[in-house]
Amino acid sequence: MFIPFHIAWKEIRGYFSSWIAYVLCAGWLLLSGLTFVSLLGAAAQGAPFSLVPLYQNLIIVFLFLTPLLTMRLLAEERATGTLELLFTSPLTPWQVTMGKWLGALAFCAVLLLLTLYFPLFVGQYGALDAGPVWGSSIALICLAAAFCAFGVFCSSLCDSQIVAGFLTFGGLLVSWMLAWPAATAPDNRLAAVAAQFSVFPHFARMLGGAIDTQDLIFFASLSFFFLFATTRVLESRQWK
Amino acid sequence: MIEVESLSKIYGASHAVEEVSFAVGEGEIVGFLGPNGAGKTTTMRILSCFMAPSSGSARIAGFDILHNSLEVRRSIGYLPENAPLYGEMSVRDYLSYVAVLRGVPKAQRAVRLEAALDAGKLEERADTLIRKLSKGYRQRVGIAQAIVHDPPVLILDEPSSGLDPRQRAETRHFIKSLAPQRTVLLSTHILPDVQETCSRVIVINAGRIVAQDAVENLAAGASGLSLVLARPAPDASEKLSRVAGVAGVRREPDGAFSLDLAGQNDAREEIAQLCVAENWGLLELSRRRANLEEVFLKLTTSD
Repeated sequence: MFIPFHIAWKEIRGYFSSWIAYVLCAGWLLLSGLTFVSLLGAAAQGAPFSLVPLYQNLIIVFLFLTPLLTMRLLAEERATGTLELLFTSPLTPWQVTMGKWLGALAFCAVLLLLTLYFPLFVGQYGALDAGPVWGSSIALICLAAAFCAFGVFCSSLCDSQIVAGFLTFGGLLVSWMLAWPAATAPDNRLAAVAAQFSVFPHFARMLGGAIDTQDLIFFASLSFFFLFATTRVLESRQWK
Repeated sequence: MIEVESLSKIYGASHAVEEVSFAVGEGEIVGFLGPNGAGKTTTMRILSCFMAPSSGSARIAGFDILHNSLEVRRSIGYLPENAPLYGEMSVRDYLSYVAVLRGVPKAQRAVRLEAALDAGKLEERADTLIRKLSKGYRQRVGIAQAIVHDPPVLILDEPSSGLDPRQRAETRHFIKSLAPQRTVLLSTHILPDVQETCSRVIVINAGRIVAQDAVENLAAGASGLSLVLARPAPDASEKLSRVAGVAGVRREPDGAFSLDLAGQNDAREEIAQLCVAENWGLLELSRRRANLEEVFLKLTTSD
């Protein structure tokens, strides 16, 4: 079997053999379900119905969820000494990093599958606009890929899961907030530059169903950058 | 199989390992002996490619640890000081996970898994979660993961730590059974383990190798004589120390004399003659073979 998939599969089994997977799934379903119900309520009042606000809200859920998902991936291996097992096996840092990242990403994909019932439900009882659903799904996967890459990176930095989790959460929060100055001061150049580094505008554009290559490249390069940084951190252990 | 050439590892200003050189031949079981903090674990981590040396080089099974790191890691089975285990996995799942990481082909996986379970005597616990196992069992899982891919070279860092005396005897027996098909380098500070399993010992202290030899030779080199006299004169110690071949004389609390010999000299005849000539009343004169413990203490105590 392809080694990264083997490591990813172990991570997925790890999630489901502890409480974390069930707690996260339950929280995810609860929060997305509440949003869905409130959207239906608004539509019943006569507001135009769209699933986009629902997916837009999920970015906040991802903000909280990613640190919980990724904090243990490498920090725990460092703390318990199993990193020694991985790196005295014939594995490259890329294989280990990819395995961890794919594991976390696959779990996010499971969460997204759980929200499939929204479009199915809407399609059953009304007219479904498929574009935003596709766009949002792709946007959420891209977002999850970048968030997980950042989480894996933070987890590679320290032995403590808690510290790794807080680092991840802090970093993601900052990346979200980078878009705010541009919203209040549209003429400020610095604010415009900062907004380019925020995930939010890219995410928001994709949500509507407009998949632009620049947004895809943004998320791909963000993911690649942090995965690459992780491999460097893992390699640096040799020289300490 | 293992060739180490002037390996050094420097942390800031301190040398963890300094200019260490040794070789382990195919099929040998070599003990790596030293007090805590002597550099055993650092050396083993370098050999298993977990760390890079600051200078020097090493080859395992013909592969350089820096330039052919993947091949080196394919050829070794490594048990770190703390067995690297995933508590949430069962023993069987864990071993098959490790088998894939170590590149065991799919067709052989089931066979290797059974062999590893058998080697660790883990069959009855195969489906137990690792976190529920006792320390002794965990250590055995650690040994099982080191051999799951059937490597020609084994590097074991304190394989018998945490085991009870019976398990330790079993582990010794198991390690002995690995040779001559495999080469083993094992570190320990449990001396009977070394005496029973290893053909050769490398003693390391404060990052430097202080001795390497066969176990018998090391013990023989530090042997001496024990002498019991009925009427020792006050100057007996002084006169004894003047005998050719005697390196030192000590008076034991029980009145007996302990004589250290220089090299492999046997001064028994001269000593007997001296005792008769001085009329000290020779009661007993015997060779005293130092055990490994004394040698170890002598080599690793700096005074």
